[in-house]
Amino acid sequence: MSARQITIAGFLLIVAAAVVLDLLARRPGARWPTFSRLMTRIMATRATRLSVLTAWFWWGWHMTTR
Amino acid sequence: MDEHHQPQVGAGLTGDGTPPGALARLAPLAALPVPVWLLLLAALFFVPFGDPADVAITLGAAAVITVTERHSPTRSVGPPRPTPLPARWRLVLVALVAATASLAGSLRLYSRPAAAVTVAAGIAVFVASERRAHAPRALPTSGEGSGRPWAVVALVLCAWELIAFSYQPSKNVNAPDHPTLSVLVEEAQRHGLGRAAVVGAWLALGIWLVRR
Repeated sequence: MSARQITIAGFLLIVAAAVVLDLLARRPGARWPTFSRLMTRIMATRATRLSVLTAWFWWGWHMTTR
Repeated sequence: MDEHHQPQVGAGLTGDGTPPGALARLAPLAALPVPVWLLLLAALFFVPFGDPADVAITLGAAAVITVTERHSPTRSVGPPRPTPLPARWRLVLVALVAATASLAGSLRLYSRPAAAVTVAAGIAVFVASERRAHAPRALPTSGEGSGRPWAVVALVLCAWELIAFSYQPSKNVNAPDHPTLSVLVEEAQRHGLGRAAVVGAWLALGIWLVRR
């Protein structure tokens, strides 16, 4: 396995962990929120809302602009 | 003892010899909201490793949040009351995302028109978010559990990204053997369809966030 494949596999593993976490959060009695509920909670104040959207915008800017 | 030889606590210096004025000037920093600190940290990272625009974006957002919080501090608000989007509006949003994605796909990567599309979409999302922020909200709910598992995932992602980034010979030269997320996304944008998919997913994510 090349270094490139290991790096990409690491990212995929993290994404898979997030998906599993979200699925487990949908079970009754789960001890953590789903990703959607978490983001709803985070976006509940203006400061966090602006920060998250800034991160979102920066990501788009970073992807399309040099 | 002559009063001029008394320790000068309360007379220009604090107990550790620091002028009280300096501490008083630093006090507002401690009151800054946590998101502002995170944005300042990001700006600090971007000074050596990013572009001037990255620093401007993060510092600008930190300044806006600081000013708006000072003039009208955020109330303790809960999640927005569920307001299902009418089917007609869903169609409009899907059409808008598809049109923007198609436009982005037809433009050259890293060109000024591509940047203009990103900025226009970003402004639209920020305006929509500001309107949404004033929507009626339910009381904060409790018992939703801890967000720590998600924080761990986010930290691991940041660490993995930083490890990959550390292999780059310089900030603008990619390391093909250790691609960062940005490099992988850049590779996906080699063709118009990829650029359209990336911009479409980015815009859809922004709209999803605004609906929170």
